[in-house]
Amino acid sequence: MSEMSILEQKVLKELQKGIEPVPHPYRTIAEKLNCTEDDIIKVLEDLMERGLVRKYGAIIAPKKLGYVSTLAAMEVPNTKIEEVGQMINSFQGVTHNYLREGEPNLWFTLIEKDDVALDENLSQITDRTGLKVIKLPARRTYKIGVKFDI
Amino acid sequence: MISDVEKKVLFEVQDMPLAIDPFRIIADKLGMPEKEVLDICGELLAKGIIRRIAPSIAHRKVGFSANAMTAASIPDDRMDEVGMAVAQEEGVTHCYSRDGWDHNLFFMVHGQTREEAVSKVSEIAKRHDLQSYDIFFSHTELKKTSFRLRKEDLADNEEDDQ
Repeated sequence: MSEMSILEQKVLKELQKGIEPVPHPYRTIAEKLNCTEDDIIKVLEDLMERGLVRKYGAIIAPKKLGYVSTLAAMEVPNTKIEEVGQMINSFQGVTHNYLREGEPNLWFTLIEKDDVALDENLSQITDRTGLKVIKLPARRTYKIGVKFDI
Repeated sequence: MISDVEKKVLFEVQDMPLAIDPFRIIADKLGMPEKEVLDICGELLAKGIIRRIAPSIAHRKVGFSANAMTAASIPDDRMDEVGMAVAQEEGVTHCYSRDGWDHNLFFMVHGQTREEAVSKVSEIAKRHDLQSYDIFFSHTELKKTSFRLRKEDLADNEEDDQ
C-alpha cells in the first residue's frame, strides 16, 4: 500500500467500481477527486508500468458467453514441478495456476468453449505428464470476487 | 448469444486505450460510430456479459499476501446452507461447492499475514461446524491472467456466417 500515493489509491478505488460507457468516462471521477481526466490516465499508466494493475478493461463473465470452466488439482513430484508448471501455463485456457502447500500441490483453473474442449485439454495434460488430474468443477457458486478496499 | 459486432467490441474493450475518450478510439479502430460502441457496451454490461470495465489489481503486490484456499467436506444435505453462510463471512472472497473429491466446499480467505488467514479460517470452521477441512496456502503464483476472448474466437464466428 505504501507504494501508492494518496491520489493513486483514490483513483484506483473509484475505477474499481467500473467506468460507465460514456464519451468521457473519467470526467465525474476527476471532478470528485478534484483532479483532471489526464491525471487519471497518468495514474493508470504508472500503475500498469509498476505492475500494480495487471490489466485494465472489460472483465468478462465467460459463463454468460457459454464458456465452461473447472478447477483442477495435481500431485506433482518436487523434481517435476517446474516442467509441469510451465507446460500447464502454456495452455491458453489456463487462467490461474498456483503451487500450494499440502497435497495436491498444484492447482489451476481452465476455461474452454465447451465441455468437450475442457476434457480434451485435461486429458492432454494427463497424457503429457503421466500424472493424475483431479477435475473439480463447481456445482454451485456462493460467492465470487470482491473489490478490495485499497 | 452474442452477435459478431458485439464480439468485436468486446474483444477491443478487454484492454481499454489509456486516453480520456477511450470509446471513441475503439470506435475509430473498428470503423463504427462511437454511439454504437457505447450502446453495445451498455447492453453487454446490462446482460452481465461484461461484469465491469475496471482495473485488475495484482493483489500480491498490494499487500493481500496470504491466500488460504480452504477445502472442507460437507454432507450434501447441508451444503447450500453452509455454503451460503460461509460466503457471507468477512474475508471470504470466493466460495463454491465442487464435485470430484471428498472435500466438496471450497472457499478462499485472504489475510495480510498467514496467521490472520489461519485464525479467520478456524473461526469460520467453528461457527459453521466444519468438521474436516484442509488449508492450502499458495506459495508460488505460476500464472494469473484474466479470461480473454481470443482472436480465433472471432475468426470462428466469421467462418460460421459464410
